[in-house]
Amino acid sequence: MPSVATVGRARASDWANSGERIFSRRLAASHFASITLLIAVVVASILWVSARHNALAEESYERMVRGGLSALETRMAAVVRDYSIWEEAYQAIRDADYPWVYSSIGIAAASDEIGTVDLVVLTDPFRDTEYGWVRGSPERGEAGLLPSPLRETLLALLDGTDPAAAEARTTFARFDGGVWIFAVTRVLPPGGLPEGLTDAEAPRQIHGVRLAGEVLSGLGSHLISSDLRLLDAPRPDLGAAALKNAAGAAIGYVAWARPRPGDRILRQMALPLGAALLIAAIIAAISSRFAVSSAARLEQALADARAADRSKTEFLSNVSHELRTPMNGILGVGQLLELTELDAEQRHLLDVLLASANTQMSLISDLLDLTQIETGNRRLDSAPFEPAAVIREVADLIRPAATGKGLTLEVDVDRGAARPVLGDRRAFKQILTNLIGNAVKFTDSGGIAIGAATRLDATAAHIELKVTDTGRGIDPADQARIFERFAQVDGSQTREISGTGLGLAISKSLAEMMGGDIGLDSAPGAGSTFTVAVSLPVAAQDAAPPLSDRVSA
Amino acid sequence: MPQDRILIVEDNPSNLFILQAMLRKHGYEPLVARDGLEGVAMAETHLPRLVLMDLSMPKMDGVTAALEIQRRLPDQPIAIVAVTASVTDEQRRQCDAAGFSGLLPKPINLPDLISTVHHHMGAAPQA
Repeated sequence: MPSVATVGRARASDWANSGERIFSRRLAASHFASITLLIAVVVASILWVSARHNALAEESYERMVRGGLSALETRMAAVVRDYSIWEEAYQAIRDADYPWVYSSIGIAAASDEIGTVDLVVLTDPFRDTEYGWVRGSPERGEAGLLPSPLRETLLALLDGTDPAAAEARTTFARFDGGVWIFAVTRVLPPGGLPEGLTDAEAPRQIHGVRLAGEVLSGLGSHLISSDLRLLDAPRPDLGAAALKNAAGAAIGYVAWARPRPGDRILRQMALPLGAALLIAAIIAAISSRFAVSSAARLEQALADARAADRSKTEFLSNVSHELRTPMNGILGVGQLLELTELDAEQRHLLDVLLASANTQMSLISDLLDLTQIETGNRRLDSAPFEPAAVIREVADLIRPAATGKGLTLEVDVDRGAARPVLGDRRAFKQILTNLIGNAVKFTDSGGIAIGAATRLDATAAHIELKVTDTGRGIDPADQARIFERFAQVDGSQTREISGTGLGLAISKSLAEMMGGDIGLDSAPGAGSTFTVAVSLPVAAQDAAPPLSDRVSA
Repeated sequence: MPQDRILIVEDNPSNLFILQAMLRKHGYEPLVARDGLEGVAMAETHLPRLVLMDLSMPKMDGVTAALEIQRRLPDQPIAIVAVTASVTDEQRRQCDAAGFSGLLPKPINLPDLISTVHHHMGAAPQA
């Protein structure tokens, strides 16, 4: 049939061209996504490590600067405390011995171990005046170097401290256009102030150091690579530690360029890492391309196979049609002949003819059924029908054959089986016809019992059909094989039982399509029980059967 | 016009002969059309109660002819039964969708044919 083959090929190429390459497209997309994700994860990790490095370095810079500031305050306090209990100094101030005060305090403090004390102020409560030197000058000192509010603030730092001990206090303050650190202490004779004097009558000494030059740069010591600088307000691009005055207000900031060790890591790693990622991406892309093209070839092959399958199905259904048409003539004439006056011989000849033609027809039907099932072209209906009615219908259909062999045929169907279910009536009937027909065929004495037990739950009817015969039984070794195509227990050319061997394969496939299965319990000489278990949705009680249900099969 | 007749639409002479013979044996005298086009014309003229419609025919196929009969005679109680050697699921669905009242597979089973005819014509055949 050249026309069929041509049609088949045209269909196949149409189908392939329609490009159902869903799997290879998905594969390509998932490969692309994983490569992108991999690169994104690697880049994000590197960025995170770099940012973390920057943050850690920033923290350690701040810790070092704060440490430097507190060390500076400690040193300033220690130095002034050393000058605190000092008999000679106390007496010299009391006696207004200017030369001694200058040479021992004014000029000496200017070259202190801190480096340089920029400003020294010494109060003289005895005359209600003070000496003040900026880096040791003027020689006699002068009053009013510190403006009044600052001076009072500094002196007040000692309020509440032990007036007889060497107490020292420090603070940062703005002065002379900059930020300074000041330390303040009392000047006392050993043992404290003489009897009868109040704390207000103890001289006080203030040291001031301007936060600039080496004092400022010394704060970060050699550990900080950045130059420290003083700012009035913090800047977002610089790290900073606040300097607080006696009232706790920020009066300035020690600032540094933010350390960026992570950026350096980034710069150093960028080239090798980029190259590695690029190579990885290229390798991944190549292998992905290979995988995708393989998948596409597979899909193409699958599409071709399906198209071939379709054309095969089409061919078979055409062949089936062509085979049925002449059978119509044979069987039609045969049936018409039956209605005429025939003698015994003619009737016998006609019976043989009709039996052969009927066998031929069931073979054609089975082949077409199996082909449709195996190519996925047999789709099951979902229409309401009563299982019990179908069981009785099939039993009534086959009963004459059973009675003719002297066999009994009993039907025992429970009430649940009368409940309408949704399913494929024709498939259900086909399974029953095959099983009951086989039972009659393979049983020579005794009988066949057909049973249906139904369990109903909220949505489904679970039907268990049993077809039991008293036939010859099936050897365990053959039990799995009989559900295969063209299998009969007796495979020899001379077997006594005719049949295509397709009925059980068809029935099993149909039961599986219904979400069920067919089981077999048998032993040689002990008969056989075929059990069909299917679960079908329960139909609404008033559902009318659709047209297809009325189509005779 | 008689409303109680059967129209056979069939192009194959053997099949036609068998159908005619089977119906005659049961007392019916069917009308005959040789293709879909003729079938539609005969249905319009004779308004049969039952049409036995072959599907694969020249000029106009059976499904088209059935649709055409229903389109032209929407108010007539005409039952159309497919008689076909194509018994695939797809063919059954197509017939359902086209408004066929039933499907008789070829080869024709005489009891099935007669019960279908009785169902649509009423049990008593015309004299």
